[in-house]
Amino acid sequence: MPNSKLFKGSLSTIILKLLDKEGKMYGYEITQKVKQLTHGKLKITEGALYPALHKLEAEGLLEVEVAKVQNRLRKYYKLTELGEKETVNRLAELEDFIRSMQQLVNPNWNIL
Amino acid sequence: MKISNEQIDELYRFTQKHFVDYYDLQTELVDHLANGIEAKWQTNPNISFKNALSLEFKKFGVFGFSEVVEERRRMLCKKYRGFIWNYFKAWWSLPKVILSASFIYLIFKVLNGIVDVSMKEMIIASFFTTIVFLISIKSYFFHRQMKLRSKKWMLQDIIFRQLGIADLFIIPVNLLSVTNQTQFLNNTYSDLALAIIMVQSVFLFKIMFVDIPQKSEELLAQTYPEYRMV
Repeated sequence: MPNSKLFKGSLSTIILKLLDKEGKMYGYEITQKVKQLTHGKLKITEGALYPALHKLEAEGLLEVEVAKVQNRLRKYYKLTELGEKETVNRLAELEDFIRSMQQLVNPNWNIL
Repeated sequence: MKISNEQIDELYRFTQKHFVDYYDLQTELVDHLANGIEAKWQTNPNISFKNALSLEFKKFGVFGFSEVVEERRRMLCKKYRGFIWNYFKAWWSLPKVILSASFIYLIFKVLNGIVDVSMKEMIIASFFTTIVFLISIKSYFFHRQMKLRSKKWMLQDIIFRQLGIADLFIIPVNLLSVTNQTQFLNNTYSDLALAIIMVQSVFLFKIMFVDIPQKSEELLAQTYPEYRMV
């Protein structure tokens, strides 16, 4: 994304939304999924992804599972019950924010 | 092409070389780098392991792994403070609160009964010096225990190093040396305040140096699902 500052504030919401849809994911998989869904327009940097994941885990919104895959251990993240509720709240907040921004930058535009 | 076992070991060494000392974080980063390298090999099978690794590492930005380590430490320190707080709260909930209040009352009565200020000062100073001495002994053994471990876990490091909170116990000793002792120590309110501080200090010492380290295995297994796997 050309301006990563715009995207940074929504990183945790993006992670929560992805995990809500996919069930469980590991760090690398999240970066690739975002890249694929946005056709390469959004790239989650590794230096931002793991701090965000660890923060969400510390907040009790994510829980971890570890599995041996090939010759290494892989850490999967998934939503907790609290995380599922928070995902709904944060998505609503994000949509509200987008709506407000649209009204500011383009008053004739409208989303439902 | 897949990453070999030797290359996995090399990735662990690479993370350590870049200041990631903890096995828990190393494991997550090793898997990430390995996935990235394997993806690079799919599109360009001729790229060497070292070059692919270098390209993957660059994605972490100019600070490398340091942001990941710092944030993880911040989160685990918060978790550790949560453990302390939970133990601490137990001393102020029924039935333990009766015992805690009794300790405070008992120490208050003893302090209040001492008329000689220098004697009172000596008792208080000895009390905190004993705690600081016990902390030094405990810290020495914890340090040795940590050195013997082949794998370092970040939470374990925090539990056995206590975030430097131990230094707080020296404050009362320093305060005694800078305050107007005669005026300060000949006062019922200061006796009560000292009794409260002394009892809390003992609780804090017990929680940080006995209770939590004793439960460390359980706390680590709760935090790290992989703890019992390796």
